[in-house]
Amino acid sequence: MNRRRLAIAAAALGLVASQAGHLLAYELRFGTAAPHIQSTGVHAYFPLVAKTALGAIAAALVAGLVLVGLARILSGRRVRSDSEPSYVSLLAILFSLQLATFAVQEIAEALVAGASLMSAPDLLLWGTLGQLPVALIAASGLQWLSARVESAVGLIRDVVRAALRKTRATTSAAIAAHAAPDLALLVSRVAGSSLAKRGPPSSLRISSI
Amino acid sequence: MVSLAGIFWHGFGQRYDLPAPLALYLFAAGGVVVVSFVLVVMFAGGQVGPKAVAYPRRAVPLLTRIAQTPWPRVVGSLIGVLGLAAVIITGQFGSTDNDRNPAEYLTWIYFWAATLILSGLIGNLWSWLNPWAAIYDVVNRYIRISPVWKLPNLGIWPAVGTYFAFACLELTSGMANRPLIVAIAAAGYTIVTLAGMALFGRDEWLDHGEAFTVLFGIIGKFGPVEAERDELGRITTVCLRPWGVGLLRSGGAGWDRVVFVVLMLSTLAFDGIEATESWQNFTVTLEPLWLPLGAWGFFAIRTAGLVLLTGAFLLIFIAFMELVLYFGNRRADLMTTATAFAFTLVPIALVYNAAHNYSYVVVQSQGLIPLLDDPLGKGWHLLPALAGYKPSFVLAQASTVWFAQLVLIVVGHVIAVYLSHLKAGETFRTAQRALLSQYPMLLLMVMYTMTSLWILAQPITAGG
Repeated sequence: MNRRRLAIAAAALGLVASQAGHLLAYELRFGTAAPHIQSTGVHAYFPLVAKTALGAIAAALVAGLVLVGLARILSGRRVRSDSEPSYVSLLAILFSLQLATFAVQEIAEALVAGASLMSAPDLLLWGTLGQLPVALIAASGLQWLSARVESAVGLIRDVVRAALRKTRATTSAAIAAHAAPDLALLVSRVAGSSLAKRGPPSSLRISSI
Repeated sequence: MVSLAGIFWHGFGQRYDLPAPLALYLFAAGGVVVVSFVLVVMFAGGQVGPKAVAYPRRAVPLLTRIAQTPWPRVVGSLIGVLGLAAVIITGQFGSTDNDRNPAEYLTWIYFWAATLILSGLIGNLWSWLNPWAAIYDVVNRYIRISPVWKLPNLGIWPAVGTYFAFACLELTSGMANRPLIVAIAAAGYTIVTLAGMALFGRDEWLDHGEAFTVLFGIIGKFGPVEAERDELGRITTVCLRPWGVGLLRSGGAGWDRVVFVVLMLSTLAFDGIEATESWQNFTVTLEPLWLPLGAWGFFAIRTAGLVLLTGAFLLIFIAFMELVLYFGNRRADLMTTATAFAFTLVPIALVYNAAHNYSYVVVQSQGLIPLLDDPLGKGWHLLPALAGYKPSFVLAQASTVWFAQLVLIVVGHVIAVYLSHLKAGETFRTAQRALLSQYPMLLLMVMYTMTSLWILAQPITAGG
């Protein structure tokens, strides 16, 4: 996967994965009260956002797996790119994005609620505790998929193109198989007999002048 | 230090009522860093390539002559060995009360805080003070010691491990206030270090496995004194240079070095965070996880906190390095770039250390003076004139501490911005690319300035 696409994928994944990290951080911080806190008051928006984010991650994962699986079935070999992104880099980028999103989210929620802001150590400690495990998993997933999805898409495209070429070739071969004898027949007939019979009188031919 | 903090805490429980809101100080400090960035760009931003990191040096013949005599090493070694012996003996046989035992003062204030700060201000003092190297050299003079094994190519990972272990003793074990534990740790580390030097070779072990040699080697690069050595390690010239610029010559690249520098920052930050209400709430909330571990639980949660913070610092730093490379528009190796820029963070670690330990060094350090009269707490009167000494608090008013910390933190970050910009000039092809690459670093520095000041402000300020 090229850097630009990978950066876009990482940014998107970082944003949505931060919601999973948010869930985990609150679960660890508030225990059984976490679901209630995360669905009322200033957090009323959160269940929908979290569900959508987790759904998006799941959908992307399933789509990626389907593509990789399909490519493997169609090509009959393992799907893997020659180069894969560094796990450490992916982890660093995802974690930092998730932590930043978490911090912004918490600050925004506090401002909207008129509550006091979480302190920097609070954001760092709870944010890291919630976001780091999610980032570890997300980075693994992204590295695995990024090393395969593009190759898988390439393989599927190749297979489809080959199939299309084959289909076209078969079609044109079929046409040629019928057309060539007809043409030969036509030429032979035209050249051999018909024209000889139906052309101008031999006395008018140039060669005969 | 944790325990001493329990007794004195930074600022002795005094609270300084800030004349302006704390946020104003934080934004002002961040603003100063931004302004310094602009000034650096205007006045020091044009050079690229090796020229960018070239710095002026002046040879000082007097210092060279002194350094070439054996005396600095002899005196330094004597101080180092006596200090180590004092820690082990007084820790073992002295008072169990930590504020009545010299081992605590010598280890946590004179060695850990003061020597580190002095090494930053002057140069690598540890190369003269190192007691283990001195013991080895004396023994080696009479009994020739040859290395038994070759140290595997592990970089400085062994030193990272020993530094982390030391940080755990200081910050997470909860036993740093027990003189006996400090003495046992010192004796144990002495055995490990001497064995390491005997088995793998003196310099091999010191350069790769001895945490303090590596640490002071890095801190010493900040200092203005630079010694040039020949192939046998003898000093040929002693030069003076501006503070900080020695860090531009960072040597080899490796994740081990990056982790070591990040650990320097994260351990200091963790020490500060432990004093905040946030940390107390964090540990109380997570009680169900660590309380069942019994006596090990508190150690486990603190160590987990330290690891978590170090991991967070490291990952954030790497992410910013990716941004530096992106804006610098160069497909350079991440590890090389991260190592080069990690060393520009050393001034921050140094000033944070100075700011964090300010009151220890200027006030609590005086607590050792009356103990010289009776170092083992046996009722001796070796130096009766010192018995009644009372520490002076002249330099330790909460307001003085706060403003000293404020200035130190801002100055450290400004130096880091400057060094980082020069390093960018060396790393990237054009001045424009170097400038672009530094915007993420600026953001990182501003964030770190504000966060570290906030952490430092918690124990000593009120209101605002």
